[in-house]
Amino acid sequence: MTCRDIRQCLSEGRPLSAEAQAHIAGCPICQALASTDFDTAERLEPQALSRFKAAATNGLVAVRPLPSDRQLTFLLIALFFCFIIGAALPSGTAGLHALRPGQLILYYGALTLSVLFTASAIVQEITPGSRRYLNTGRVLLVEGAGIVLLTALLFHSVSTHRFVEFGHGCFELGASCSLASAVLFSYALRGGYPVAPVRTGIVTGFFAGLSGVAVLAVHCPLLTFAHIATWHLCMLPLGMGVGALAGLLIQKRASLRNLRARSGEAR
Amino acid sequence: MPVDAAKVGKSRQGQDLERLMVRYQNADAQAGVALVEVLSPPLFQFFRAQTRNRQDAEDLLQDLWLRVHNARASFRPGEPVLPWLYSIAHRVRVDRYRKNRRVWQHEVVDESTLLNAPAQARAAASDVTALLSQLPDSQRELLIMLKVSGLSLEEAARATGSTVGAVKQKAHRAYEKLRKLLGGAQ
Repeated sequence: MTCRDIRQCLSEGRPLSAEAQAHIAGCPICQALASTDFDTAERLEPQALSRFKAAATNGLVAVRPLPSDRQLTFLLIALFFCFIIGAALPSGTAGLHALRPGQLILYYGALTLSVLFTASAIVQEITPGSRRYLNTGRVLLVEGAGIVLLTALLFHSVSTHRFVEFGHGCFELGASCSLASAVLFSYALRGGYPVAPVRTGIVTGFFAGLSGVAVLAVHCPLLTFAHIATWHLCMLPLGMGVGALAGLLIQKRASLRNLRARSGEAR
Repeated sequence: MPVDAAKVGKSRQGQDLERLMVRYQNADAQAGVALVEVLSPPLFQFFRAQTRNRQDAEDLLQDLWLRVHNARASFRPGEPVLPWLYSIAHRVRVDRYRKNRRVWQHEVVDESTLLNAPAQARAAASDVTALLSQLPDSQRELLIMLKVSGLSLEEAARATGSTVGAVKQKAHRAYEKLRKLLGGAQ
């Protein structure tokens, strides 16, 4: 048994075997590590406890607990696809008909997978203490890079004929769909608590951006890489940026509210 | 009622906490008061071990209870309370750290000075607060969760939004650093 083994035991919280205890008895450093009492001597004062009780119970009303992860994820995905159908049908489905079968399967397949993983990531973010199955940052990176690469592979043409003229129409449609869907998804998630509001805003913004990309994929028959990468896929970073700002505002508002609540109790 | 925070989890006390949380969600103020009484002492220890003084720790704890009040709908009956609670506490600590970053940095003792100090100074520096202040925030917080608050590795992983493997690795690095601070290489 070495000092490294002892540190491994301590870091994993395993009980110390007889061999480990024998090592500790003979090693002053391991002895100090094993016996370090991290507890501080100070204790809470009764008047502080009264303030905390007031903070926790002031204006208490009954609340409905959050649905399960599975239910929430399913709700988000269902809302997403209902929104796409509702937004794309009035604006036309020329994009759907312009794709070849292989392109249809791959492009929509990639978007669908992105929707599934992003929805799961969002639900993780709004549930404090949830088990982490996905690393949010990596999920967004892989999805974003994957969609761009797939677009480059599926749509080879880099023609920029009437680039801005055709582009700004798609931009307006995509941006308004992303914004509308962001409001819808935020309302659906209102029972959750984003422990890290900026990060939650980013991933929700990405999800809303995906809805813009999906609506444009159904509506727009222009299948050039330059057009799609610029005017469709820009919804993703745009959504993330707006989401981050929204998260920052939520964080600031919560901070101010807590400050006011603390000042109110102090008076 | 006195609570041994180190044993709270899937034990009977853990289940009692879950019942209190459900009642709290149903606007039972007495349940809220009971939660504060039971959980504030270990949470105070959690914050006190990471702050400069008692006042800061109490401020953080009050901030936490305000957030718990706002976040209570996000607790799911049947899930353990401690990871939920400590994930909010972790966030309170991170937000406050970002706000007061410069103040903490001024108070960190220089590691090389500590290692080169004579034996008496090293003995004095084995004082817990001085030791802990040498660790990066995330390592310090993790050791406090595991050793002071009594969270399991799984609970600490959920509270910090990472995996059990990452938590074990971080704890191991923290102990490695403490070993160096306590007295030289093997």
